[in-house]
Amino acid sequence: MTDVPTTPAPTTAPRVSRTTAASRVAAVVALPVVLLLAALPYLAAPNVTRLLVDLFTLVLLATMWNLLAGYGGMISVGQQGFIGLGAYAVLVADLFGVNPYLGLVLAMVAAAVLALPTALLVFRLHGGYFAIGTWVVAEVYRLVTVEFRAVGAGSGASVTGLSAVPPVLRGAITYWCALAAVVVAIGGVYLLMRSRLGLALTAIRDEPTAAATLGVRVRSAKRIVFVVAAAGCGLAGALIAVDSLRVQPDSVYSVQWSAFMIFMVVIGGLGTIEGPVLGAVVFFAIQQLLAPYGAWYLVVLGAVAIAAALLARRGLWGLVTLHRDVRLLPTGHRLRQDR
Amino acid sequence: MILSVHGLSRSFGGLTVVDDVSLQVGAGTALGVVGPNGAGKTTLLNLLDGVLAADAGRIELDGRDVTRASAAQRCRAGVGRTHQTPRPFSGMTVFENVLVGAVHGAGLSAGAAHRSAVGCLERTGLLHRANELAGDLRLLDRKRLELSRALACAPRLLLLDEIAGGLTDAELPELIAIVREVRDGGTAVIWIEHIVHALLEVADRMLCLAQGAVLAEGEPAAVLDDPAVREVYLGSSVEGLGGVTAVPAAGEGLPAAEPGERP
Repeated sequence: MTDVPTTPAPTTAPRVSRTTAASRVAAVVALPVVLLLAALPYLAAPNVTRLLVDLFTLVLLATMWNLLAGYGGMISVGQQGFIGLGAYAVLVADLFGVNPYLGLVLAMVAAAVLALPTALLVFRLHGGYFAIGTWVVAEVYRLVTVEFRAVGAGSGASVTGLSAVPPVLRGAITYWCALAAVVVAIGGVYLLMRSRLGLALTAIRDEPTAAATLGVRVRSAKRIVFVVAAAGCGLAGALIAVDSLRVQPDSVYSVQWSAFMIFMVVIGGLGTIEGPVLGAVVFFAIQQLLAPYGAWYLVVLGAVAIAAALLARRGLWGLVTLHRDVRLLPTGHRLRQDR
Repeated sequence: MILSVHGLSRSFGGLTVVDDVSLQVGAGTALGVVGPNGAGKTTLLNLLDGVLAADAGRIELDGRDVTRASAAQRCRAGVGRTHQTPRPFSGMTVFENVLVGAVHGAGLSAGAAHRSAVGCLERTGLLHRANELAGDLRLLDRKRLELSRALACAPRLLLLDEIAGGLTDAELPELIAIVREVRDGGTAVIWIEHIVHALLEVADRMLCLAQGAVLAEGEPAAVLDDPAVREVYLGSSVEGLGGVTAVPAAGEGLPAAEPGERP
């Protein structure tokens, strides 16, 4: 059943390699970079770290959406439901006198817990129906939230528990929380995708039926990803709340978040860990540079999206790596023959 | 018996595609399945591996009722399957494709799964393409990949759906050798194939399916000699004629006809 000459028996069995030259460099560089970023509140002005909180939140969101769509094959436009939920978790914690920073953890738990029944509902839908279904569920979350007077009904409320903390310290703590969230999210997705579950997810993304035939528990793998992504988006919403100290339902539950997430991931490169980070940086740069020009900002976003769809179909990261094997965070397996 | 099927049926709308099929396959034996296009052969495999749920009937694997088990559960219980139209994980390498079966189907841990996957690729002659993306493979190599992945699940029951289609005469013997080896290792094999002479090399028993029902079952030579079987083949489409030319005329040397000659 072969049309190639049989190769002589190899002297040693092939070895499975899970690193690349680039990843070994990245591993060495990563620690100093994270340490430098952690020291930034002592080195830079508060407005710099304030901006970086926004960027880290975007990176977190992009990473989570990529986990859902790029690895789990679930195109959701309803992640704002969990962002809003996370923001309101901080608000509720604040109402009960709990430290809002502790609310970050509660937000993750709340989003993850609510993701389970949500998954039960939306997993009955597929493709475009799944996308719309998640959006509808997010709208329901919003509509239920604004029914509660205690959290300001339709107009929202402010986070008051942090008013005693000096602004500079508050900014630094928020920044460290955001940095930790990003490091955990990227590191977590990296480890997840290298695990058995990661192998299963990649298979599901490419061919769900064949994956099931090869023993992959498709539904349970997808459910885990959905819950993890919900927790991540909940955390992002909580970060937005402690950063801005104000939670407005129309803003935190806005479908615009989904549009941003899709933009970042598609621009950066779907199904890679590096791509969404790059996409978030590009999106953040466009947002900051064009903020004074109003609607032009949306025009440029659209133009960039069209350009990426035409010229960089595997995203900017795909353009950077092209055909080279440059993977900073490799999740795959390569066989190497030692001679 | 590794597999016992009783009264299996499945309809789509008003059309009964698999109609009251019963069959048994024991350890280390191979059942060849022939039949014209649209006879329900692939649907039968889909029912056996759990991709489709049966409307009626009972499927027992090693004496355990798996009629309601999911495809993943059945794979873990020992059902391996190749698809007629290959379904590779296009974005993964060939090695990773096979690894999915070794890790999730056979339930091996990392080191053992790596060794098993390499072994399966070696067996099917695909090892030299291990690091290529499965989506870049040509049809023939995709078929090899289907077989490698199914073998990686360490199946007790192997379901082959037209795995020889498109292979040249030079490539056939190697495939036949692999399937024989798997069968002689104690695995039960069900092989759907239009290339009947390939099937005769391996099959211990033969089953002819027509319009979803069992038309004939028994010794391969006897089944192929059955006038009813020859009738459905002659009445079938052009692709089915590939089988007709391969069906030896009555009394002419049948490779698997001599009893006790099983290699």
